[in-house]
Amino acid sequence: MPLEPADFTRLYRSYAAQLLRFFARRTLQSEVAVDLVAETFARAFADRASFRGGSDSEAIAWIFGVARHQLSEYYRRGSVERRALARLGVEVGQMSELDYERVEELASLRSQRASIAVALAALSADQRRALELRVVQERPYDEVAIVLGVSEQTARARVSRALRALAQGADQEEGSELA
Amino acid sequence: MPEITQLPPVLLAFGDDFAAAMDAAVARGSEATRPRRPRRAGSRPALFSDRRRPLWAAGVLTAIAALAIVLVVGVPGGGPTTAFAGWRAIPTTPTADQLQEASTTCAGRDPDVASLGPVVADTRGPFALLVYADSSSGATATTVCWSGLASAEAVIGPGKAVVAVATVSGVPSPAAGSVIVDGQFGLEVTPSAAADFTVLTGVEGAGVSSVSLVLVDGSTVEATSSNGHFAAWWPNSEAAKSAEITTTSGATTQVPISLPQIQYGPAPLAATGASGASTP
Repeated sequence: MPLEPADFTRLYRSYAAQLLRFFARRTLQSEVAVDLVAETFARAFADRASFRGGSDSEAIAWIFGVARHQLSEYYRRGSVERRALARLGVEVGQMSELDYERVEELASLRSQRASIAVALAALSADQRRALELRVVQERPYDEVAIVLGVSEQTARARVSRALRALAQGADQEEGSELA
Repeated sequence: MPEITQLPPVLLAFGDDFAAAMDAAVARGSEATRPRRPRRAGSRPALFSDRRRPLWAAGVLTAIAALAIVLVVGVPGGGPTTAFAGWRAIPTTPTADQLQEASTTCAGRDPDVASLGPVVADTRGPFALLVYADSSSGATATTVCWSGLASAEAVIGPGKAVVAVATVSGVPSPAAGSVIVDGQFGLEVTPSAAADFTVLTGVEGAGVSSVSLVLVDGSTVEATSSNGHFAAWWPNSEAAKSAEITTTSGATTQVPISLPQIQYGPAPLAATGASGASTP
């Protein structure tokens, strides 16, 4: 059953919050999580011809597959791809303080701090420093590379590996919620 | 299941825009075989209208005959002293104000650009590069425009902009999964070459999802793709030696770029004031 715009609208209303939590817990960056939600739905709409299911549960499972691919691409590239959004002709607005608070609340990031601290402690010193520079200080990768004394590619790799390690922790914590 | 009201307002608003954009996309699909002309002067490009409305409403241009690029360098007041500080190898998301400024600053500087609609908006930090295309002409015109660039001001005076135009012709349609580079050129505006930069533009065949460029020095620059075009620029004189093409199926291929040696200045400069008045 091909998915129509009305189907995507219904799925967005029902599952965008869950998807936002999925991304927020794995990227630890509210803006990135919001952008990934938007790009995921735009990408799913663009690729809707490839959906072969017939129910909402199958559709959302498929969309989460798209989401995991987007997340993987984000780890690899170090930035959110917005190609599907651009082709569809929409963009995400600027985030307000309320937006940031809502994302933190929805993703329970505050209550996750203890588990995040544990996961961070398990990272290598190099990865932890790279993550701090990129995520906490929000510095661009070229600056991260300079501070670390490595190539930009190496800096990206360290941040990517660190985020993947934290994401594995989030996966274990959420169990089968998103399976 | 979380309620929709739990979403942050920015995603609630996006949900509305997403729904409208899907409807518009479906509507466009029903008339996809009808060739479209780019926007003409007097009709405000949707790209620069309300940022919550669809941006690329003009659709895909079916024949590539003329191409123009406007590069706007907007250095915030009191900003970096390095000419291209803030440039990024990966495109950044443009703000509505940034695009609006790019349009008002440069689109009116060249009569061939003023009547067209943009097909690519490539933004890297504070810099915006706009690509315009026209199917009505047999030539490809490339226009580069700076404004607010400190090093350029050292040459042409404060508050001025630089416009350069180059023309090529006969850009064929690329095969599916491939790209054609239709222009790669560099400019310098200062004797010290502090503001050298290189621009590369091209067209994409069906099924191409992204293009990354590998420069002679081994660094990579990710291009911005939209409406069958792609573009990128970088703040040095290194040429692009190859392109990594990724298709919608996920396949990636590396292809060499063979173009004549990049020609650097003295650029064919035509300087205009910020308000459009003629200058030095």
